[in-house]
Amino acid sequence: MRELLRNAWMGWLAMSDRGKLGALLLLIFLLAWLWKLGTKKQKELIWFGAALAGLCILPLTAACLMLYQTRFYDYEWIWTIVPVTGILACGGVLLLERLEKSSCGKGKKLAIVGMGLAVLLLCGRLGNPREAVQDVGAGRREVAEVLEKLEQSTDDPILLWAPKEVMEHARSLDANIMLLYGRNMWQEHLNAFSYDGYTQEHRDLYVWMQLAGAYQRLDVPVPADLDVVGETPTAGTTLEGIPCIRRAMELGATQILLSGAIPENYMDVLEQELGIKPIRLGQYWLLSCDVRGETASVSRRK
Amino acid sequence: MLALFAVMFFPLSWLLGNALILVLDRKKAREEYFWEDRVLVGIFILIGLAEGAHLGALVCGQSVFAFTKLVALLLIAAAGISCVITGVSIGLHVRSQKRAGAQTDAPSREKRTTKEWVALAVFLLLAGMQAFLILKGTRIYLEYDETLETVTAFLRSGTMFTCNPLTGLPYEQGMPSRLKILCLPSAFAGICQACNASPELVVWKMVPILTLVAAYLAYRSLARALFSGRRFLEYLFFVLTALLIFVGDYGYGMEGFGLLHAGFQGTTIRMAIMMPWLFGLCLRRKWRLVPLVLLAEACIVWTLYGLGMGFLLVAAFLALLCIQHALQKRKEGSQ
Repeated sequence: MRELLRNAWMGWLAMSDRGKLGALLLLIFLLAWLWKLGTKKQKELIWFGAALAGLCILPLTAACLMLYQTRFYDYEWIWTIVPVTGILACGGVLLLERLEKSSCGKGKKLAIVGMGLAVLLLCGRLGNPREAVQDVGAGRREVAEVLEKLEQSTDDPILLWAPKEVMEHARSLDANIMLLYGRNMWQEHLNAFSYDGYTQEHRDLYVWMQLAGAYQRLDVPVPADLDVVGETPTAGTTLEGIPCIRRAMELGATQILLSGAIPENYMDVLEQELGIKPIRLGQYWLLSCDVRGETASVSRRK
Repeated sequence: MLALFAVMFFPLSWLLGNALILVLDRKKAREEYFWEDRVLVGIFILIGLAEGAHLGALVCGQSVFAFTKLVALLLIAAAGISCVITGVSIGLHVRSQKRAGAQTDAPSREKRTTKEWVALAVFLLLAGMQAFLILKGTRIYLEYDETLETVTAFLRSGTMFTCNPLTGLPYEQGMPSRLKILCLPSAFAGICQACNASPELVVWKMVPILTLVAAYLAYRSLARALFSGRRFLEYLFFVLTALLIFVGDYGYGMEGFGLLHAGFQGTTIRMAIMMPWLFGLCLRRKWRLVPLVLLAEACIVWTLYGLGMGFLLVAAFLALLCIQHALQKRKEGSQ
């Protein structure tokens, strides 16, 4: 319960830190109370909204609401019961109506409206959301081109292992392509959609694939800060490329895309060790392994 | 075909909603319900039909194709019944008007003033910009969502929930049943199949646009409840609502953020359409339509065994109403 209360309070702090509509809402409540704004229905909206907002802010009631909405959703979703936009818009209209009726000059009224508008706009982040909204334009198109070439290269079913930026869009672009792991490897919240999880082996493969592109080599040291869900490989250890690729093949990967940033001389090493010739495919190296052919021979050699 | 669907969506919703309102509240249907109410009721009926077909297909282990056919059949039946009910209602109304000797023409509306036109134009400009941003379709929030992968997987395999949409591999442990019963992914897949449209176009562009329009309809209904008949104030309310949607585009869980970056999610539909309209219904004391919203919510988002935020809102509203009455009585008693 203490954890839930802490989450509820931290949730409110995080929410008020991201943008200031919560503060604006409290300001509207205050002005509506001071100036006795609104008709019966408008007052109902504002004061019932205020009561509901109070339930969302107080840690104890917020924790109860979080329990009610199920743990599937985070703190911010309890605010669904508060019609924030409706209250703010209604409050704004009432304030403008009051301003119109006031005796001050036209210029002064315009200045007040302008300042109010500026305050309103500054309550947000001017089109730069805090959360990473994906720019799915150019990046997605590039991935689509790579996947199209990949599909043309084989008639067999494809189980792909590739860097994050390819894996991220592969399934939504082409459902014929299967993946060694999905977006839930690095986006934790997606694990709520299924009971399936990943083994440590899968996590190691993900980490290696990301680091190989970053370090531009096959054997990579594991840093302390990793963007991976669940247990990470021990920091300071080295993940070796050849065993990782062999393991991916054993797990069924039929097409492997490696970052094109890895120099060509490493590809010669791969060809010698695995017996598969990497081909250049756009920004990537493609290792195409026939399910019944090379994979089996690699396993035997190992 | 998709354009036809998008164009016909709201008239069809109106037809279905009009029929249900006539059935539920025949005497007050004409005077006390707005056309936005009819459209929104129709949308919730469509969600109900999709849910019925989805559960039917899921329980019988049928394909997405069977789901689409079932929805189409249900829709044709519902639209037919709605046409009959609406026709009969119009006939009865015309007859009663003739009997009463009154004019059957609608009363002429007051012309819009200049400042009303200006407010309307500003609102349309802001809403148009929002629609443009959505149609550009390049800024999508995917972190909490796998709708597009799910729809693509449904269409590829023809079956529902047999493989993990994020990998395409069969489930090992499965997925929560409470997610399986939600109908939005199969509804989107059905639209893709019926209109021969790409999932990306339907999920990331068409559905968010419909959500945005429906959200403004919900706010129009709320505005009518709040500013009954004062058109300029209603328009001002829309302008501020549109501005707040832009301003609220700062973080996950905000209405503006949902509408502009994730209009296809059940949580956005609940927050931007269901809740404002439900609050409007509570303010207008139109309790008969409330269960419809509560049911529709349970069809599209994970709820506590069917009890969602809508139920909580109505319960809280009723509780606060009781407290208000008690306080008033006490005040009157002391006087």
